[in-house]
Amino acid sequence: MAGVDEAAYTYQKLSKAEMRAFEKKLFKGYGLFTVGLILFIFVVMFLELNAGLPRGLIAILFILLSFALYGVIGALNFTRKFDEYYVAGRKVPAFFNGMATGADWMSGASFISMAGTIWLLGYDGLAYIMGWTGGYVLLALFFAPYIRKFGQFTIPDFVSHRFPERGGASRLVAAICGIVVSFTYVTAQVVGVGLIMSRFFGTSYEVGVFLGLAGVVLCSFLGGMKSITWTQVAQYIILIIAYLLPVSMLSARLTGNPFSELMYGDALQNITRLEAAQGLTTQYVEPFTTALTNASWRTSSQQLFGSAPDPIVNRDWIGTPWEYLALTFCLMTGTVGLPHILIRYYTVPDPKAARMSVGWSLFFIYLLYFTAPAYAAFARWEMLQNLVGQQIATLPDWVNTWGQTGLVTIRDANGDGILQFPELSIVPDLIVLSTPEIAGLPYTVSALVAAGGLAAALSTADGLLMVIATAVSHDIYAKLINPEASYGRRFLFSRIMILVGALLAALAALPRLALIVQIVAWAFSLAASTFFPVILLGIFWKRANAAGAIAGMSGGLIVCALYIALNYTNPFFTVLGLSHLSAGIFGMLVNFGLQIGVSLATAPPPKEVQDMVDDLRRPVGEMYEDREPAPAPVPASAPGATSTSQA
Amino acid sequence: MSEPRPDSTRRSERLDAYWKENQRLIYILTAIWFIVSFAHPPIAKALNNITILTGFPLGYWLSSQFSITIFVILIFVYALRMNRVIDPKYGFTEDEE
Repeated sequence: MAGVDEAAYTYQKLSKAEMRAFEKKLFKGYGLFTVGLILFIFVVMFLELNAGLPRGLIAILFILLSFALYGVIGALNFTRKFDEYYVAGRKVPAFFNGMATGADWMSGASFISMAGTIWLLGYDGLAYIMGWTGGYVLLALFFAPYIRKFGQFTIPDFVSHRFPERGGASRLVAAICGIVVSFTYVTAQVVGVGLIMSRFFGTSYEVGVFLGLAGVVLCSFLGGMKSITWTQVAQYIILIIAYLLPVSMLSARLTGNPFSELMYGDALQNITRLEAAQGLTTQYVEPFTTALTNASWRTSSQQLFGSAPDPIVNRDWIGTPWEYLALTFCLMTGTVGLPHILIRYYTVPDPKAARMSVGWSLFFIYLLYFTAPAYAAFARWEMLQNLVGQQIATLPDWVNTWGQTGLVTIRDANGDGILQFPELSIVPDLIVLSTPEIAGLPYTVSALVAAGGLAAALSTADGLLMVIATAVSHDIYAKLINPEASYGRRFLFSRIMILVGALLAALAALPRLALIVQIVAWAFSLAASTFFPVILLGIFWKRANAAGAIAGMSGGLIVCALYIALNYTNPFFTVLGLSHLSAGIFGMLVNFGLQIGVSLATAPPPKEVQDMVDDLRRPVGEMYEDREPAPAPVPASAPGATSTSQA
Repeated sequence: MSEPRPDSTRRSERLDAYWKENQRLIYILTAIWFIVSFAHPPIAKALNNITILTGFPLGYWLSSQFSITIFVILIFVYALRMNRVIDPKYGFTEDEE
């Protein structure tokens, strides 16, 4: 790392004209890229169908080229500038920050698992569609503009400046929460990467994990947030095309119209008809049919301790809406508490751009989420119509290829040699990855979907690793341990942390514990019980103080974790039929209660903090003139000069 | 929050008025968000008896398409109204600096 000491803090706001020129350049570059990608897909598809391009070659072509692209973008954005490394120079236009946020947000879970979850659960799965989009409304109204106005580097930065009375305590707690949430999340991405690599590259799962991680490190190692941002924009373009293309082709084949989002009403009708005809008891479009079980705990317990407890199923709450409503609410409020999403709004030029950027973020996420239920419906229709009722001996090829991975199992329960729907069991994660094959689409589409799934998992992993590396190098090392550290040392530390974080995530992903996916689901509840109330009250209630914030966060965390543990192991421990997935609702209530109660019972925050809150609410100017990350607590009196002369 | 100097008092009054108007908009949009998110799922079963568009049961359609479309619109309404109307009304524009 020779020469890192040249690292410098150089933040300078671009003028409007410079910003426009920059934006134009970006539109041109990414526009050409999009056109090129679409052409490339069609050329490869043409070659496959007419010249017999071998399958292995197609898969390698897609995966290698996309990795090479990420590597090149990552390397081109190498930087030694502090603000570029941590916040991409704060000049990412709202539109492109929207795309980057889209890629950052949509992980392996959105791309690979979500349509599968809806395919499995029907209406109940829609809680994820609403929950993972509705949070952005809260983000726009309550968080993003103020986070940008605050204009530092991390979420612990915000917490510690807003609640400075207890020294570094609030920063440390926030940094640790951020690391725990991000680490489990990144591990889940790595599991997804390993799955895709092993399926399409023919490597073992373990090798796939490490190959994938090389890709992650490639993007984020050199240029930090700057590299990640511009790679994520490219990754968004790849993943959205990879998501929309197969389902459009499937829709065109089944209904004659490629607009799957419009046409799956037809699919839903057919599903309902076929379900009735085949005498199935649960209906796809019927709400609230999911029972509370300890199935997940049984799997986890088997993997961790080698023995599983007896199955417990609690059907008492079927037909009540509480779990659906609470889960939606937890996913929404949890969204707003996730550090890797929040920090994306530090990278835009000003609070106005932050507001627009949330709109673009949700728009780009919406394109995928609007389509996921269509994916699910067409896959279910296709299976009910073309798979069920066939001779088991003559099922299509894909059943066998995926059967070998253990992800599809066929069990002829009644021994009649004909497949009934309950005899078919498919791991939900497979729906998106296997749809192109199920629909008999060219292999090019499968390879594209694999590249898209990788893009989704890698882009999220990048953002998360950056949060972990920043929490350690900036919040813990530079702010709490060695405030004198030079920029060069902080970079070095951050880059080492990216490697360490990636390596640890790979090791944690190797055993493929079911518990990891579960922890990711819990991350939303945990974020909803900790960060969400604290940041919300921090901005909207001046009276909130550090004692209240610390009491609220700890209380929320404990109650949420307790409910998770109790309900996860025993589904009969429940309030109103709420499962461990929506435990955040209790944590959040406790957090709000404690924070308000304790704040009112103790002294109000110092005048500087109240002035700082006032300043947060002014949508113009920068709060910290030199923007050198100064040690907390920071007197927040600087910005008067920048923002408030009479118009 | 009044401060001794008259200049800063005027400044803080302006901020207070701005903040009130901002909050009003926020609360209206939050109310719409809340209704769109949580009002229809409890009656989804009944709504499913109604069929719309290409055959969507209404309850299913509201959750899978309607609500999330409204979410996108709400954010742009807030961003555009704040950026183009409310911020300039109180002099919070970049040109002012």
